[in-house]
Amino acid sequence: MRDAASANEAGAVRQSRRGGWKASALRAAIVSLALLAALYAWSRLQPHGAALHGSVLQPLPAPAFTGFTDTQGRVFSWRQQRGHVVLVFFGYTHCPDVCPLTLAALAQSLQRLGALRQRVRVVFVTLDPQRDNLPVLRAYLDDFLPDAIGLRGSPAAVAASARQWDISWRRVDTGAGAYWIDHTAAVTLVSPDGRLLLRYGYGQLTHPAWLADDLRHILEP
Amino acid sequence: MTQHSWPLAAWGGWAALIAALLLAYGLAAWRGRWPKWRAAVFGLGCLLTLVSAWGLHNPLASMTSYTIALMSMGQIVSPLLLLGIPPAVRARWHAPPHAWWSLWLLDAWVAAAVFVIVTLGINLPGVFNTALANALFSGPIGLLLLISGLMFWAQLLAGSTSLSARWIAGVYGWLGSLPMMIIAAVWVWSAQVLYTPYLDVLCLWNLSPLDDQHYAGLVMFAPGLPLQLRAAWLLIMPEGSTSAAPSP
Repeated sequence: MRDAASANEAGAVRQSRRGGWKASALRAAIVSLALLAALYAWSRLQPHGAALHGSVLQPLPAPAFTGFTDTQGRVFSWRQQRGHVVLVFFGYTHCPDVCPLTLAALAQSLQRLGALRQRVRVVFVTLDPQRDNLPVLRAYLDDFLPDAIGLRGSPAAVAASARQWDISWRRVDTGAGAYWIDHTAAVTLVSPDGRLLLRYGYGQLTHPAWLADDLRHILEP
Repeated sequence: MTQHSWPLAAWGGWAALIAALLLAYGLAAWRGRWPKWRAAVFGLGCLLTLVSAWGLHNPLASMTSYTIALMSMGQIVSPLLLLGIPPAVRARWHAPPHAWWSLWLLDAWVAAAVFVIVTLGINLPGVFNTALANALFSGPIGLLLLISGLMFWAQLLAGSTSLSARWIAGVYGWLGSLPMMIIAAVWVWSAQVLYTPYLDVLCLWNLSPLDDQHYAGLVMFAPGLPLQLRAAWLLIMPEGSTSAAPSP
């Protein structure tokens, strides 16, 4: 209690030394402005893309699709995609739910882009090369995104590529030769300079406006 | 592909901060023969700082655990560290040679402004998401919350306060806690996930991202309670004959 009493005595002279409420208000205003400026700078200096709806990735060069060909039988090259945002998705045509839903969500988002749509490409990489031959893959993509690039590789190439793109997957046998594939349902956004930028889980694609906003932000900085 | 944890240097920074705090406190406590219970409280505050830092190191793991760490830093660690120091010693902070910093850091107006801006500011998606994109950003955010918590709680404790009456301190504390409570309410009752990077991860305990956000809101209510209780105590309890400012 003595401590508190002596502490309160010190408080009596405190107000006069501090110059009253006007000086305090001025100090508070100065600190507020400085803090607001710092928070604004913080949000601007953050890792590129952190204000966007997708999850930010380290800006590494996008892994090459070694050993893959597209539905026209051509080798895929990142150099040919320069200047375009590329959305990469690993899936398979027999997928009952998340693949068609994701492709439909992508189509809805891209519809909102107007002229910018020309600067966005979608790459669908099949995790099921056994059943997804090139014509099957093409027909499947045509139902959602006719200009999407379908990629197919050998099982070894698929396994290596999925690892590089941080996609986990496993085959689940359901009997009588049938199977499905459990897999990461993520869309990876590659920037126009060929670097990893953002990643979207399915939940982040449920609002078409989110991806569309991010794409506009990237293509119209 | 993402930076989801802290490098060793970040851990070293927190450890160095706590070691410096303990060293400075130990010397002062030994010279001033401060009560042992205060030393124990201060030690507990340092321990909780480490525990909170652990919770900060991977913000994307779970919004709930991240919120626990942030709130603990601002609302549990701060008062513990201050209570570890006797009120008479805290009162000397207002006089030279401390006046140059206390003029700003122990000013009630400045403390309120900093506390409210930090509380609201770090929850804006543009700021909050920085730590979700790169865990390193959670360190400075935690430190900012600790400093703002120390500044605000100092106004509710004897000696360090600049407020002239208990009832003013009570109203001050209650008003200061409102932004925190509002954010907690938004998190609890929001129908959609506010920080979309959480949609791309499996949260701890298999919670859905929306459930995780709701629990984070509840968590924010809980560590906000000491502040509200302290404010209520200052408002309800009668002023002593010698006591103009809050105690202890």
